[in-house]
Amino acid sequence: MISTTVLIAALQQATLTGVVRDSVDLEPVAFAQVSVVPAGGEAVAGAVSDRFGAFLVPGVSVAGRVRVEVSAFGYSVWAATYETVPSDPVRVLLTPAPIALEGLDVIASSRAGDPLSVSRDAFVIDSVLLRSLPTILETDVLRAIAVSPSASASSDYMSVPFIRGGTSDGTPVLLDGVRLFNAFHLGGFLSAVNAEVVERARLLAGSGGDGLAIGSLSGAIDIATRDGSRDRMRMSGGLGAASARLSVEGPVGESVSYLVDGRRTWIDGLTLALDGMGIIDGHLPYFFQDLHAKVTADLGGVRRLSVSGYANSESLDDVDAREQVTRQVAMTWGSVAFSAHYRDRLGANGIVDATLGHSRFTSDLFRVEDYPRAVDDSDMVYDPPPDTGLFGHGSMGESRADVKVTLHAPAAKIVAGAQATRFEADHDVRFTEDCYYSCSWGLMDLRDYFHSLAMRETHWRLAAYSSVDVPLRRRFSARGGLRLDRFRGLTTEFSPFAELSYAASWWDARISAARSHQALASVRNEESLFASYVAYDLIAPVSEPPIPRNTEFSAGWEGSRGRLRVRLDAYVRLLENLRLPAFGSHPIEVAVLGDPARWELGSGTARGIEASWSWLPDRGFSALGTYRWARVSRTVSSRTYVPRFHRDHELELGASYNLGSSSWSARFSVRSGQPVTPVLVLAKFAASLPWSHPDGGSAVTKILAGEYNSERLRRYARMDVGWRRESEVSWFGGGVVALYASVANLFNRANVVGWKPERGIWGGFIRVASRQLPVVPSFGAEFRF
Amino acid sequence: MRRWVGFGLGAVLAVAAMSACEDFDPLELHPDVVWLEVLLVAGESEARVLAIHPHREQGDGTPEITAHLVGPGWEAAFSETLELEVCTGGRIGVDSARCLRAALPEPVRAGAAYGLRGTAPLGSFTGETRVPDTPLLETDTLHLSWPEKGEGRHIPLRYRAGSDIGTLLVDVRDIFETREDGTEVELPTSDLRLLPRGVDPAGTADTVWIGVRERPLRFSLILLGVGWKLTDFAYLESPAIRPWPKFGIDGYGVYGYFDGAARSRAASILVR
Repeated sequence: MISTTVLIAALQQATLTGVVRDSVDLEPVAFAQVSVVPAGGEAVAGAVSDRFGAFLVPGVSVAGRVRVEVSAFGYSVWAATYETVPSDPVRVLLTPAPIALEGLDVIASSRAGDPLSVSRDAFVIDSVLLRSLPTILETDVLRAIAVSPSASASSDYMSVPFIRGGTSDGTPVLLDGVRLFNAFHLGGFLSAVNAEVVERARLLAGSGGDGLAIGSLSGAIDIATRDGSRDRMRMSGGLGAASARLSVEGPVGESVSYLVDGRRTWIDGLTLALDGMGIIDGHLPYFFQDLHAKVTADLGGVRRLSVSGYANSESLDDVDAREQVTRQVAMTWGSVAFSAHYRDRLGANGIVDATLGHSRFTSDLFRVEDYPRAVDDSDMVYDPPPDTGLFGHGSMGESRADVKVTLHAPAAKIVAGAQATRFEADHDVRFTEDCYYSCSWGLMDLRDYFHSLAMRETHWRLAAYSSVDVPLRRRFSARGGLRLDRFRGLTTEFSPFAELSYAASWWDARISAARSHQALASVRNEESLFASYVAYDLIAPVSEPPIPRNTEFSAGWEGSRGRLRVRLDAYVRLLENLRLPAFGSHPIEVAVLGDPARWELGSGTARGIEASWSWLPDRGFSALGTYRWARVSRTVSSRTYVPRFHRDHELELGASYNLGSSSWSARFSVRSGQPVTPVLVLAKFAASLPWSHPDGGSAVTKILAGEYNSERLRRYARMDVGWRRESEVSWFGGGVVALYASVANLFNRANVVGWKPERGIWGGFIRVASRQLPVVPSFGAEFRF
Repeated sequence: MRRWVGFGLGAVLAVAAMSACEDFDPLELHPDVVWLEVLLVAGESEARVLAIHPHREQGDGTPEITAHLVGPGWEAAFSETLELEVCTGGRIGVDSARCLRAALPEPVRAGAAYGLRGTAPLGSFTGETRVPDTPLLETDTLHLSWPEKGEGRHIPLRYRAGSDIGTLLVDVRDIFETREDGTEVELPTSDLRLLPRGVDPAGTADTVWIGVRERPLRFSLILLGVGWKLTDFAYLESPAIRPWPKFGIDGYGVYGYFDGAARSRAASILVR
């Protein structure tokens, strides 16, 4: 009898599906709230649109009329009433409503909303928030992500942040679902993704929830690009202090859109021109460029296919070729990435996503000094270079296939997926440590950055994962999941995840635990002083077990009153089986990129409390603030220390004010100083023994330092300000032109990343402090037609 | 427009040159820190301590310290101030320093443990060490001749040293050169080139080399075994990060070494 009743009830229910899109350019709108209300009743079911705008609301009664309401940040509410639940997917077109955060709703295709609240698992930066922060040279998606309390940039020169005490090798940067290696330019200063095409960026701080599908040690930075406008061809771009960028997008027929964008720096061209005009002496032979293209086909309903390709390159090429000798530094490096995503409906309540991706980073390095050459009529004949400082090439690549099924049952949401990942690394860089001139180029000493490295490894990872999200009684809900990883040739690991949540009327709270593994490690030495200046990394597969493992526990609370929203998180992490460089006698003076053959098994811990708050009204003044306290440690070679990149306290305040077509923004950062090793005594060694100075002479001075990184540098503080003004123009059929200007480190405060003692020229000892960013003005223009 | 370009270029070049951007400040260290050097030599009836304010300039005051050496059943104060050169051996660069002497009731014993206690401007300090056992020089008397060609003469040595010796130094003294008229003239030690200045304490045989002189020569050669505390300090890489090896002295604001050394008996070397 009971089973018959259940069966009848099930037969009387249906699943409402649909896709939410912007009514102007038909871009998908993510994080839209969908609710289904029976005529004359209260909402009985709801859902949130996913990153492709799709939603499924199961358990809707087929009897009677229903009203469907969809709301999203920055859009007017959409509502429709149906006599019965539609069996076909509903097409929801949201009309943009004026948003006063920056008044950029014309440029932005959609808003994600409050970065604190749109996702349980992620801090979300959308294209509007991206532009509401003061720029450093140009709008930068990775620098915007660092607003999150979970993210900490190790220095002003790093656009890519570290997450909750982890390092960048544990936090992959994903572009349209595929890992992008070294996702930055200019040594790490600018991110390699053109802000013009960023729909939103998610920072996944943990390994549970959405992070279960990533399978990394320290979450992920997931950047999604726009699909491209489907109403008409549009052009957008900008000219910033470092580069020029352009994107073109538009429809192909009724259901296909394209997006092509590119960026190139003009540092080399400008300096060359100024050099030619005699305004400056010499030019900077460096450039970066990137190109991205995406084609998306809307196959009806939730079905879609998108293909995305990306390529970037950087080059530093300086040749001084004279009659008898040649000096040359030739370094080129870059990435390519490709991804294809297909989505279809699976049964009445399911969606299947299939993704294929490949990414590859290559480098070619060469530095030679004073090698003689003989020149004949046709070409140059090289003699063996007598002073080769650096020579080699390298590559690393990842290929990935991923299938994920999401089932929206009335009583649970179930996700199941399978992945196959192949990682390969092939590096052969030979560096002559005792070289003379060829170890440097200008002011740059290559010994600060490179160490000889030879390795060739391939690594397969096969994974299956599943998670379930179940509402419980009395406003409780639970999520749980399990990931099974087969690291071929190494080990098989289980990574569980569990979370319990409680949702009250205006607040909710959660506790969770998760574990994750990865069989990749970085060759970077984060203790090197120069790690604060160069973000490039080479990833290497771990060649033997045990593999790096992350275990984390976290608790969170979130509440809102009016426009004010507050979120608190606390976490404890244990990082085991890390591969870390052996603790040497001069940790800060070693090369940034070392040899993984010399790495030792290490571990780490991190614990912290994060608070973030936002005040985002429809217009006028808006503010976003974060505070983070954390303790982080690493243990290697029987020594436990605070890593140099860590700061105990970080406070970030961002505010913007919109008045008419102009907006002003400010970002204020206060952070405790980074760790530094104190000098306790300068010992003038004067033993009356034959080995020292039997014939008299100066005493030998030795420096005795305290515990490694046991003191802190002076407090860090920085104020950035920005201004932006938009004007509607009638050029090219109408559009918007925006001018912006900003000043980073307005008060030119001398923040430092570290110091070391050195003997002064006139005697005595001095402290040589390496500075962070000085005052940097930048300006530019953006347009969208 | 040109001004704007100039701004942009300035910003870009500023970023490109960041790695060269450094600040230079004086390294400000506590001026009252004291550095102590104490080396007890077996057989000597006195001990000396060199106390330095390493972070003070010359003329800024010498260390005000009290120090006592604690031996087997006795205690002796470093109460007598000596000329600084007695402790420094005439080296320059050691300023704001004092050389103190303690008369001991008995000669320093090889193999015995000693303590050190005292006070310094920033607090009290203690020390402990053990004088190493006397190294055994098995070579007794050597009669050698100058080579007809070449620059010098190798001297074979046979010896044994305990594991408590970290450095085994070769020292020469009582150097006499015979003139053509048959008289002997004593030479300063710096006149005789000797290499190397030490031999491997874990070994049992080695050679040292002396630079050639054209006249007959006789001198005494001894081995000086130095403990590990001073050895570790002497070979310490700088800057040295804690934990350092034990240098024998503990105390807030007081650093240095407290170690012992023992001389072997002398071997007579005659070169003709």
